Amino acid sequence: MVTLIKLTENDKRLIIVLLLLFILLFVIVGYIGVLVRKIMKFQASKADDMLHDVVETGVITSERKLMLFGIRKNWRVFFKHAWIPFLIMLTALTIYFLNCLFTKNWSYNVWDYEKTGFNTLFFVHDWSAFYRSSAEGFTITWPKLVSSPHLSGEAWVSYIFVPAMTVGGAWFAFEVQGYIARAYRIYILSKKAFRKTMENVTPPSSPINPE
Amino acid sequence: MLGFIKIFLQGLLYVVLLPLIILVLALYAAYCIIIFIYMAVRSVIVFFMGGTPLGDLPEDVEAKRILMEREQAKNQDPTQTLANAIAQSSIQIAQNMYSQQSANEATTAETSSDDKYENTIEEMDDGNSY
Repeated sequence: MVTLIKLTENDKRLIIVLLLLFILLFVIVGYIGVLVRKIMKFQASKADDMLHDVVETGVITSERKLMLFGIRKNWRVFFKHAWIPFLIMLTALTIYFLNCLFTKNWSYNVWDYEKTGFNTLFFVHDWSAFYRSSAEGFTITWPKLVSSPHLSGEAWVSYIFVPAMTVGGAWFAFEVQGYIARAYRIYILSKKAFRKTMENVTPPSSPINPE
Repeated sequence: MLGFIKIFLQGLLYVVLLPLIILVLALYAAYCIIIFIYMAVRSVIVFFMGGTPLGDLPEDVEAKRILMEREQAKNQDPTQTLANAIAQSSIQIAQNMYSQQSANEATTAETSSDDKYENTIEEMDDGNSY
Protein backbone atom coordinates (compact mmCIF):
# COMPACT_ATOMS: atom_id res chain seq x y z
CA MET A 1 0.00 0.00 0.00
CA VAL A 2 1.31 3.40 -1.00
CA THR A 3 0.96 6.15 1.58
CA LEU A 4 0.67 9.55 -0.09
CA ILE A 5 0.42 11.71 3.02
CA LYS A 6 1.92 10.93 6.36
CA LEU A 7 0.25 12.80 9.18
CA THR A 8 2.01 13.29 12.45
CA GLU A 9 0.14 13.41 15.75
CA ASN A 10 0.39 17.23 15.74
CA ASP A 11 -1.07 17.42 12.23
CA LYS A 12 -4.01 15.25 13.29
CA ARG A 13 -4.65 17.50 16.29
CA LEU A 14 -4.47 20.55 14.07
CA ILE A 15 -6.97 19.04 11.61
CA ILE A 16 -9.37 18.20 14.46
CA VAL A 17 -9.10 21.74 15.82
CA LEU A 18 -9.74 23.18 12.34
CA LEU A 19 -12.73 20.86 11.88
CA LEU A 20 -14.21 21.95 15.21
CA LEU A 21 -13.64 25.57 14.24
CA PHE A 22 -15.48 24.98 10.96
CA ILE A 23 -18.41 23.36 12.77
CA LEU A 24 -18.51 26.28 15.19
CA LEU A 25 -18.41 28.71 12.28
CA PHE A 26 -21.35 27.02 10.52
CA VAL A 27 -23.37 26.94 13.74
CA ILE A 28 -22.72 30.66 14.32
CA VAL A 29 -23.70 31.41 10.71
CA GLY A 30 -26.84 29.30 11.21
CA TYR A 31 -27.82 31.28 14.29
CA ILE A 32 -27.12 34.56 12.45
CA GLY A 33 -29.43 33.32 9.68
CA VAL A 34 -32.18 32.54 12.19
CA LEU A 35 -31.77 36.02 13.70
CA VAL A 36 -31.90 37.69 10.27
CA ARG A 37 -35.09 35.79 9.42
CA LYS A 38 -36.71 36.88 12.68
CA ILE A 39 -35.73 40.51 12.04
CA MET A 40 -37.10 40.29 8.48
CA LYS A 41 -40.40 38.92 9.78
CA PHE A 42 -40.61 41.87 12.15
CA GLN A 43 -39.79 44.31 9.35
CA ALA A 44 -42.39 42.66 7.08
CA SER A 45 -45.15 43.15 9.64
CA LYS A 46 -45.16 46.83 8.63
CA ALA A 47 -46.62 45.75 5.26
CA ASP A 48 -49.73 44.43 7.04
CA ASP A 49 -50.24 47.85 8.64
CA MET A 50 -49.84 49.54 5.26
CA LEU A 51 -52.37 47.38 3.43
CA HIS A 52 -54.97 46.59 6.10
CA ASP A 53 -57.22 49.67 5.90
CA VAL A 54 -57.47 49.91 2.12
CA VAL A 55 -58.46 46.25 1.82
CA GLU A 56 -60.78 46.24 4.82
CA THR A 57 -62.70 49.33 3.65
CA GLY A 58 -62.96 47.99 0.10
CA VAL A 59 -61.01 50.88 -1.47
CA ILE A 60 -58.83 48.37 -3.31
CA THR A 61 -60.60 45.42 -4.82
CA SER A 62 -58.07 43.65 -7.00
CA GLU A 63 -54.77 41.83 -6.61
CA ARG A 64 -52.92 44.00 -9.14
CA LYS A 65 -54.07 47.30 -7.61
CA LEU A 66 -53.06 46.09 -4.16
CA MET A 67 -49.62 45.12 -5.46
CA LEU A 68 -49.08 48.54 -7.08
CA PHE A 69 -50.36 50.34 -4.01
CA GLY A 70 -48.06 48.25 -1.81
CA ILE A 71 -45.04 49.06 -3.98
CA ARG A 72 -45.76 52.81 -3.80
CA LYS A 73 -46.23 52.64 -0.03
CA ASN A 74 -43.05 50.60 0.33
CA TRP A 75 -41.05 53.26 -1.56
CA ARG A 76 -42.35 55.91 0.83
CA VAL A 77 -41.60 53.87 3.93
CA PHE A 78 -38.10 53.10 2.61
CA PHE A 79 -37.46 56.78 1.90
CA LYS A 80 -38.64 57.77 5.38
CA HIS A 81 -36.39 55.15 7.01
CA ALA A 82 -33.31 55.50 4.82
CA TRP A 83 -32.75 59.24 4.61
CA ILE A 84 -30.64 59.41 7.80
CA PRO A 85 -28.09 56.71 6.77
CA PHE A 86 -28.07 58.16 3.26
CA LEU A 87 -27.29 61.61 4.66
CA ILE A 88 -24.50 60.18 6.88
CA MET A 89 -22.86 58.49 3.89
CA LEU A 90 -23.31 61.55 1.70
CA THR A 91 -21.67 63.77 4.33
CA ALA A 92 -18.74 61.37 4.67
CA LEU A 93 -18.25 61.24 0.90
CA THR A 94 -18.47 65.02 0.64
CA ILE A 95 -15.80 65.46 3.34
CA TYR A 96 -13.56 62.92 1.58
CA PHE A 97 -13.88 64.56 -1.84
CA LEU A 98 -13.50 68.09 -0.47
CA ASN A 99 -10.31 67.00 1.30
CA CYS A 100 -9.00 65.46 -1.91
CA LEU A 101 -9.92 68.64 -3.78
CA PHE A 102 -8.21 71.02 -1.35
CA THR A 103 -5.06 68.90 -0.80
CA LYS A 104 -5.00 67.93 -4.51
CA ASN A 105 -4.20 64.39 -3.38
CA TRP A 106 -6.53 62.01 -5.21
CA SER A 107 -4.69 58.91 -3.98
CA TYR A 108 -5.69 59.43 -0.33
CA ASN A 109 -5.84 55.93 1.21
CA VAL A 110 -8.36 55.60 4.02
CA TRP A 111 -7.00 52.16 5.02
CA ASP A 112 -3.36 53.16 5.32
CA TYR A 113 -1.68 52.23 8.64
CA GLU A 114 1.27 54.63 8.57
CA LYS A 115 -0.05 58.17 8.05
CA THR A 116 -3.42 58.79 6.45
CA GLY A 117 -5.59 55.76 7.10
CA PHE A 118 -7.98 54.45 9.73
CA ASN A 119 -5.64 51.52 10.45
CA THR A 120 -3.32 53.88 12.35
CA LEU A 121 -5.67 53.22 15.28
CA PHE A 122 -5.04 49.46 15.33
CA PHE A 123 -2.31 46.90 15.74
CA VAL A 124 -1.28 45.78 12.27
CA HIS A 125 0.47 42.43 11.73
CA ASP A 126 2.15 40.96 8.73
CA TRP A 127 0.19 37.77 8.05
CA SER A 128 2.09 36.77 4.90
CA ALA A 129 4.39 34.40 6.80
CA PHE A 130 1.77 33.01 9.20
CA TYR A 131 1.28 29.58 7.63
CA ARG A 132 3.71 27.40 5.71
CA SER A 133 3.38 23.84 4.50
CA SER A 134 6.29 21.72 3.51
CA ALA A 135 7.17 18.05 3.15
CA GLU A 136 7.77 17.89 6.88
CA GLY A 137 4.33 19.23 7.72
CA PHE A 138 2.63 22.49 8.68
CA THR A 139 4.43 25.36 10.34
CA ILE A 140 2.74 28.26 12.02
CA THR A 141 4.65 31.36 13.06
CA TRP A 142 3.16 34.27 14.96
CA PRO A 143 2.89 37.27 12.55
CA LYS A 144 5.28 40.18 12.93
CA LEU A 145 3.90 43.47 14.33
CA VAL A 146 4.03 46.15 11.65
CA SER A 147 2.28 49.09 13.31
CA SER A 148 1.04 50.03 16.79
CA PRO A 149 -1.98 52.28 17.43
CA HIS A 150 -1.21 55.98 17.12
CA LEU A 151 -3.09 59.18 16.26
CA SER A 152 -2.12 60.85 13.04
CA GLY A 153 -3.14 64.41 12.14
CA GLU A 154 -3.20 63.62 8.44
CA ALA A 155 -5.70 60.80 9.00
CA TRP A 156 -8.58 62.92 10.37
CA VAL A 157 -10.58 62.44 7.18
CA SER A 158 -10.27 58.67 7.55
CA TYR A 159 -11.36 58.89 11.19
CA ILE A 160 -14.60 60.52 9.99
CA PHE A 161 -15.01 58.73 6.68
CA VAL A 162 -14.57 55.09 7.75
CA PRO A 163 -16.89 55.06 10.82
CA ALA A 164 -19.50 57.18 9.02
CA MET A 165 -19.48 54.97 5.95
CA THR A 166 -19.55 51.82 8.09
CA VAL A 167 -22.48 52.98 10.23
CA GLY A 168 -24.34 54.54 7.29
CA GLY A 169 -23.69 51.53 5.06
CA ALA A 170 -24.80 49.00 7.68
CA TRP A 171 -27.89 51.07 8.46
CA PHE A 172 -28.70 51.44 4.77
CA ALA A 173 -28.21 47.68 4.23
CA PHE A 174 -30.60 47.06 7.15
CA GLU A 175 -33.20 49.28 5.50
CA VAL A 176 -32.68 47.53 2.16
CA GLN A 177 -33.28 44.24 3.96
CA GLY A 178 -36.49 45.77 5.39
CA TYR A 179 -37.51 46.84 1.89
CA ILE A 180 -37.00 43.29 0.59
CA ALA A 181 -38.95 41.81 3.53
CA ARG A 182 -41.87 44.20 3.00
CA ALA A 183 -41.86 43.68 -0.77
CA TYR A 184 -42.08 39.91 -0.30
CA ARG A 185 -44.86 40.28 2.27
CA ILE A 186 -46.80 42.62 -0.05
CA TYR A 187 -46.49 40.04 -2.83
CA ILE A 188 -47.80 37.27 -0.54
CA LEU A 189 -50.64 39.43 0.84
CA SER A 190 -51.76 40.62 -2.58
CA LYS A 191 -51.97 36.98 -3.69
CA LYS A 192 -53.84 35.90 -0.57
CA ALA A 193 -56.21 38.82 0.04
CA PHE A 194 -58.56 38.28 -2.92
CA ARG A 195 -58.19 34.54 -3.32
CA LYS A 196 -61.30 32.45 -2.81
CA THR A 197 -60.78 29.48 -0.56
CA MET A 198 -62.71 26.22 -0.28
CA GLU A 199 -61.41 25.51 3.22
CA ASN A 200 -64.61 26.29 5.16
CA VAL A 201 -67.17 25.82 2.40
CA THR A 202 -69.83 23.12 2.83
CA PRO A 203 -72.37 22.33 0.09
CA PRO A 204 -76.02 23.15 0.89
CA SER A 205 -78.09 20.31 2.39
CA SER A 206 -80.84 20.72 -0.21
CA PRO A 207 -79.20 21.41 -3.58
CA ILE A 208 -81.06 23.51 -6.14
CA ASN A 209 -80.63 21.00 -8.96
CA PRO A 210 -80.47 17.51 -7.41
CA GLU A 211 -79.21 14.87 -9.81
CA MET B 1 -28.90 17.33 19.17
CA LEU B 2 -31.36 17.41 16.28
CA GLY B 3 -31.73 21.16 16.69
CA PHE B 4 -27.96 21.58 16.71
CA ILE B 5 -27.62 19.56 13.48
CA LYS B 6 -30.43 21.57 11.92
CA ILE B 7 -28.72 24.86 12.80
CA PHE B 8 -25.39 23.48 11.54
CA LEU B 9 -26.94 22.46 8.21
CA GLN B 10 -28.68 25.80 7.91
CA GLY B 11 -25.33 27.50 8.54
CA LEU B 12 -23.76 25.34 5.82
CA LEU B 13 -26.58 26.29 3.44
CA TYR B 14 -26.18 29.99 4.21
CA VAL B 15 -22.42 29.79 3.63
CA VAL B 16 -22.99 28.05 0.28
CA LEU B 17 -25.67 30.56 -0.72
CA LEU B 18 -23.79 33.58 0.65
CA PRO B 19 -22.54 34.82 -2.77
CA LEU B 20 -26.08 34.67 -4.12
CA ILE B 21 -27.49 36.43 -1.04
CA ILE B 22 -24.86 39.17 -1.34
CA LEU B 23 -25.60 39.53 -5.05
CA VAL B 24 -29.35 39.89 -4.41
CA LEU B 25 -28.69 42.38 -1.60
CA ALA B 26 -26.33 44.39 -3.82
CA LEU B 27 -28.85 44.47 -6.68
CA TYR B 28 -31.61 45.56 -4.33
CA ALA B 29 -29.28 48.17 -2.78
CA ALA B 30 -28.65 49.63 -6.24
CA TYR B 31 -32.40 49.59 -6.95
CA CYS B 32 -33.09 51.21 -3.57
CA ILE B 33 -30.55 53.97 -4.24
CA ILE B 34 -32.38 54.76 -7.50
CA ILE B 35 -35.72 54.74 -5.64
CA PHE B 36 -34.23 56.97 -2.96
CA ILE B 37 -32.99 59.53 -5.48
CA TYR B 38 -36.34 59.45 -7.33
CA MET B 39 -38.28 59.93 -4.07
CA ALA B 40 -35.94 62.73 -2.96
CA VAL B 41 -36.34 64.63 -6.25
CA ARG B 42 -40.10 64.04 -6.25
CA SER B 43 -40.42 65.18 -2.62
CA VAL B 44 -38.50 68.41 -3.35
CA ILE B 45 -40.70 69.15 -6.39
CA VAL B 46 -43.91 68.40 -4.44
CA PHE B 47 -42.70 70.52 -1.52
CA PHE B 48 -41.99 73.56 -3.72
CA MET B 49 -45.34 73.13 -5.45
CA GLY B 50 -46.98 73.55 -2.05
CA GLY B 51 -47.96 69.93 -1.44
CA THR B 52 -47.12 67.47 1.32
CA PRO B 53 -44.17 65.40 0.03
CA LEU B 54 -44.83 62.22 1.96
CA GLY B 55 -48.51 62.66 2.68
CA ASP B 56 -51.16 59.99 2.37
CA LEU B 57 -51.92 58.39 -0.97
CA PRO B 58 -55.45 58.91 -2.41
CA GLU B 59 -56.36 55.33 -1.44
CA ASP B 60 -55.30 56.01 2.15
CA VAL B 61 -57.38 59.20 2.27
CA GLU B 62 -60.42 57.33 0.95
CA ALA B 63 -59.91 54.50 3.46
CA LYS B 64 -59.55 56.98 6.31
CA ARG B 65 -62.75 58.76 5.23
CA ILE B 66 -64.69 55.49 5.18
CA LEU B 67 -63.33 54.47 8.56
CA MET B 68 -64.22 57.87 10.01
CA GLU B 69 -67.75 57.60 8.63
CA ARG B 70 -68.07 54.14 10.15
CA GLU B 71 -66.82 55.43 13.46
CA GLN B 72 -69.28 58.31 13.38
CA ALA B 73 -72.13 55.96 12.49
CA LYS B 74 -71.13 53.69 15.34
CA ASN B 75 -71.06 56.64 17.74
CA GLN B 76 -74.34 58.04 16.45
CA ASP B 77 -76.31 54.80 16.56
CA PRO B 78 -76.72 54.44 20.34
CA THR B 79 -77.81 58.08 20.72
CA GLN B 80 -80.31 57.79 17.93
CA THR B 81 -81.71 54.58 19.36
CA LEU B 82 -82.03 56.21 22.76
CA ALA B 83 -83.69 59.31 21.27
CA ASN B 84 -86.09 57.14 19.31
CA ALA B 85 -86.91 55.12 22.43
CA ILE B 86 -87.47 58.29 24.44
CA ALA B 87 -89.66 59.78 21.71
CA GLN B 88 -91.66 56.58 21.41
CA SER B 89 -92.18 56.29 25.15
CA SER B 90 -93.22 59.97 25.39
CA ILE B 91 -95.76 59.39 22.62
CA GLN B 92 -97.01 56.34 24.48
CA ILE B 93 -97.25 58.27 27.73
CA ALA B 94 -99.01 61.16 25.99
CA GLN B 95 -101.44 58.77 24.34
CA ASN B 96 -102.15 57.06 27.65
CA MET B 97 -102.63 60.39 29.35
CA TYR B 98 -104.93 61.57 26.58
CA SER B 99 -107.04 58.42 26.66
CA GLN B 100 -107.19 58.57 30.46
CA GLN B 101 -108.12 62.24 30.37
CA SER B 102 -110.85 61.68 27.80
CA ALA B 103 -112.17 58.76 29.83
CA ASN B 104 -112.23 60.96 32.92
CA GLU B 105 -113.94 63.72 31.02
CA ALA B 106 -116.54 61.29 29.75
CA THR B 107 -117.18 60.04 33.27
CA THR B 108 -117.45 63.59 34.59
CA ALA B 109 -119.82 64.53 31.80
CA GLU B 110 -121.92 61.48 32.48
CA THR B 111 -122.02 62.24 36.19
CA SER B 112 -122.99 65.87 35.62
CA SER B 113 -125.81 64.88 33.19
CA ASP B 114 -127.09 62.40 35.79
CA ASP B 115 -127.03 65.13 38.42
CA LYS B 116 -128.87 67.52 36.10
CA TYR B 117 -131.46 64.83 35.42
CA GLU B 118 -131.90 64.16 39.10
CA ASN B 119 -132.23 67.90 39.80
CA THR B 120 -134.86 68.25 37.10
CA ILE B 121 -136.78 65.31 38.53
CA GLU B 122 -136.51 66.86 41.94
CA GLU B 123 -137.70 70.22 40.56
CA MET B 124 -140.54 68.54 38.78
CA ASP B 125 -141.41 66.67 41.93
CA ASP B 126 -141.32 69.96 43.76
CA GLY B 127 -143.63 71.47 41.09
CA ASN B 128 -145.96 68.62 41.39
CA SER B 129 -146.13 69.10 45.04
CA TYR B 130 -147.27 72.59 44.35
